[in-house]
Amino acid sequence: MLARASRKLSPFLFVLPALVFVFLTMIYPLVFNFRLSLTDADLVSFVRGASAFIGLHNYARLLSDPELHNAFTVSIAYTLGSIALMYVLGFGLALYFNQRFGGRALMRALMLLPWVLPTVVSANIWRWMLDGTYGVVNYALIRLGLLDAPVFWLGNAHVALISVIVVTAWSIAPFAMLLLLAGLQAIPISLYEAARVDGASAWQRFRHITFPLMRPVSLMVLLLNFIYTFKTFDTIFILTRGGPGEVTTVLPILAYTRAFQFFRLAEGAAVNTILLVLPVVLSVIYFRIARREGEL
Amino acid sequence: MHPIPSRSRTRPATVSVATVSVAALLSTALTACGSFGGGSDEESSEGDGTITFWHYYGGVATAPLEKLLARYTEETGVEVDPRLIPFGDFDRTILQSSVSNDLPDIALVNVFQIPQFAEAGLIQDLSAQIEAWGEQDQYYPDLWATVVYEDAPYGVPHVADAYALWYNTANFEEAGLEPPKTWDELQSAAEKLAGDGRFGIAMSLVKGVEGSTPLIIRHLSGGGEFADWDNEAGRETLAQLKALVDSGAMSQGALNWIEDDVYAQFTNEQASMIVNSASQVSIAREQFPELEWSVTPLPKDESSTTRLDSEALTITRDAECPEAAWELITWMQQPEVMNAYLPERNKLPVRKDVAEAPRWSEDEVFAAFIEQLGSAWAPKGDDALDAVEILTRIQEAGQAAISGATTPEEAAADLQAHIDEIKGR
Amino acid sequence: MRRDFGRRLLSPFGVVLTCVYLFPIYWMVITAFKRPADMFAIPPDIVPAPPTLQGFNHAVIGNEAVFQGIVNSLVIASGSLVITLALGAPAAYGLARLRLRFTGLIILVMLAAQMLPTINLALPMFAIFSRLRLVDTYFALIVANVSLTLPFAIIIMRPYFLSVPSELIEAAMIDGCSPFGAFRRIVLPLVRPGVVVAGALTFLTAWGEFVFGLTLATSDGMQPITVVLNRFIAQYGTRWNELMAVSTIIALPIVLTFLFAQKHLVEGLTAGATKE
Repeated sequence: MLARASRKLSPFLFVLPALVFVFLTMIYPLVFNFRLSLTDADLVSFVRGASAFIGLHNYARLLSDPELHNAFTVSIAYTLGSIALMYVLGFGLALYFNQRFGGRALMRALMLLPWVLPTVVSANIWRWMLDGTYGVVNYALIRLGLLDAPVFWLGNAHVALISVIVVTAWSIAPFAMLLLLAGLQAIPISLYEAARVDGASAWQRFRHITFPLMRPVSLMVLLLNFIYTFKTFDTIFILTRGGPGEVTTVLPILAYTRAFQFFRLAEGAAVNTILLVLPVVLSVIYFRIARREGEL
Repeated sequence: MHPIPSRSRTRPATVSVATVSVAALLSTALTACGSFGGGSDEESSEGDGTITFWHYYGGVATAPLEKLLARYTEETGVEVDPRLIPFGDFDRTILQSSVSNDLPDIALVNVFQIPQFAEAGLIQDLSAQIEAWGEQDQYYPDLWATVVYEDAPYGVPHVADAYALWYNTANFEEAGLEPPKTWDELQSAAEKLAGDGRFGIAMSLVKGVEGSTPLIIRHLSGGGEFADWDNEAGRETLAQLKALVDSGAMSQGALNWIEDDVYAQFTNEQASMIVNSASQVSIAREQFPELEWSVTPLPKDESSTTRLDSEALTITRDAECPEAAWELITWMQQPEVMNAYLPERNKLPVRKDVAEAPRWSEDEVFAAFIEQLGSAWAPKGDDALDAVEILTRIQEAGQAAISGATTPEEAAADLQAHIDEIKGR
Repeated sequence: MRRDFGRRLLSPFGVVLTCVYLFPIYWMVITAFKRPADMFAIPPDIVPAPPTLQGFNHAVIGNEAVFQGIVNSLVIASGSLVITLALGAPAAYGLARLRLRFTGLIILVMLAAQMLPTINLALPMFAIFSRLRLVDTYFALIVANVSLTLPFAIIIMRPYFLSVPSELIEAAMIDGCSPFGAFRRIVLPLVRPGVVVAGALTFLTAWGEFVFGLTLATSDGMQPITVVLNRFIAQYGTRWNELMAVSTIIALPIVLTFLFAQKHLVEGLTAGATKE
């Protein structure tokens, strides 16, 4: 009886250590952040422990602050743009590396390097390459005839966000490629054979076999990377500091500026809480879909 | 000590301050200088009298400071433990450490932060020590004012930096121009010197406090005031900087350049004039010996002003060796020590007796900078408490006007609205 | 016929593709070998002429901080790897077996804290560890990193556990295996690819992590290499050659480790069918 009970209990026991760990290390910061956002803490009052409780006042003020609206919009544009580009690149690379050809293994491994590089390193490389006066990107584009005059990729309000998106996608596409490739390889070849026998073209095979069967993996890749990209701070800060103007000021940068440059700590904490809303909502949707498809 | 009192959010401020004071007292009692291993925190286990010293001088600036501190140890036998924290993380680290009462003995802080730190009780009032020391009058008055908060001094200025106009003498001679004395002269000179992919002038207008420097300089020299922008002075400032870019005298890249980028533009002869500080003078001479250049004070319309940058030595709330720390501070202020240190560190003196040395008075470039020091501006008093935020907004206004997102008039009005909101809080 | 021709193009196309995609890395390395003045050449030199070790000399050689930083990063990353897998593999297994309604909720909760930018977790993290008197220890840094890597590791490993047939596990337990025994001896070997992937991701994340390193490592001797690099970056502004030299040094161990382990990594991902 005990054995049977322990058998029923055992999955819980397997999960317990990790759960306890996460609870201990992550819940406190989340709670701390939320409580801070309900006060009027700035540097002085925080240090003195004299912050007053002001309820949801910070949220009310933020929700009518155009800078918050802007940051929210930029965050969405940046994240969606990055993962869209990442997905196209990643899927394309996965399809390509799904073929057999000489040197495939080595090239596939090398292609992972951008993802392997710490963001601090890759962001600085790109900042140098995208420099308006001395950058090699301008040089290359002008030599190729695609550009007439140098562009300030990080200083021009019209293209700064696109530049940041490209840099981000460049770093994360290899990881997407890896996961998508695994998904592609799980599709039985027999399905393709059957389709070919039926006279389906390459595009039709892709549309009706590959793409639908890749849906679960695609969703996972998109969700994970949405969460990961939405909170990006380093890369953007190194490239543009959120500028020019507010063009690349995403929510994490806004939170940072408020909390650690202006020392309006409580406001920064409130921005953080607002920042959580979208990823949480998306995760819930993802789990609903996954559960419905019997994958959970 | 809880950073956010859990049940006691509505506890009146006096009680909280009492709690903090008691906690601070307790921790100082437990970790007094000279007590052996009596320290309760990691940081203060240097109960043997080692002075902890935090600063943000990174890169090439680290070595001169460490050499200076090592010299002190050699001469007096007192150990000093320096810790480098990058500038961007410095204030945040001070905040963090204040939570655990782990602040160092001495913190070398940017004078802009003194009001906030003083208000928060993170640094100590040094009135008693300074009065006993009596050397206050040697300091340039504007500089001294930056360490004073609510009539008490909270630090001792250590080094200073100011901005002036660097100009390429060869290009000026070729164009038959004299260094400009007013901003309009500067604009026309810059327009004449531009062409062929090169520009007349370059400035750092990058997002953040750094990029507000040219704007505040122009504004003040035109008779404007720090927190007053919705008037003719403010509008003219924004309009003129916009005109510099529109006419091709200045590259629009300025909106993304940090001061290092501007320096690179000058040394690569992409710009004939730059608004830059003194800290790169020696490096420029060393690395670009063929470049012909000099420095002239910034243009003066109504008043001659430059922006001051300075670091001051402070003794923090949690210092275990305040007397030893004060000894070190006064030692560092001696003219002989300063004159050995400053050339390596590439900063300007803060004391008149230090500035008397030939290096400063006989060198044309440095003499120009010292002259500017006499009329250097830094935010004071209440202005200083909100300085970081206001300067950030000033840069934003410049950004908006120059990029054409709004007109100079609108940008000035928006800026004023932000400033009013900040001050009203 | 046409397909053959297309097929023969795949390799050369791959070479071009790889070269273009990895160009930034090439650019980093050659910038590190340029002289300060040459960096600003217009048009930029594709190959440094002449190459010089100046950047490395100034920034790196004779700088023990770099060496110590690499050692620290190794310790932290390895420690994080071990603990993440030790906690995460059983958890992923348990969640795979549990198939309850709130499996999703548990994962969501684990993910929730991941959604905050690290820099905003730094202050409370510091408060916790300083109260425990554990600031500036490998322990604190490892725990902080594991808190970042554990949820993702679980999410990645879970599908692999899902694909292990229950019959195998039942059979083992009927034969007298304890649940944990079954996990260790039967299931784990089968999910090795998934574990390898999660492990690689964990190691990489911990290696590249910077904010916790900066916050929790208060003495120079404890700082991971990313923090050491950041100290140079902050002051090097546009001394690109030195900046790139340090970046190359940072990237080198990770690239080498990766190239060494990549066979297993890629095998791991592509051999295990994803079952979502």
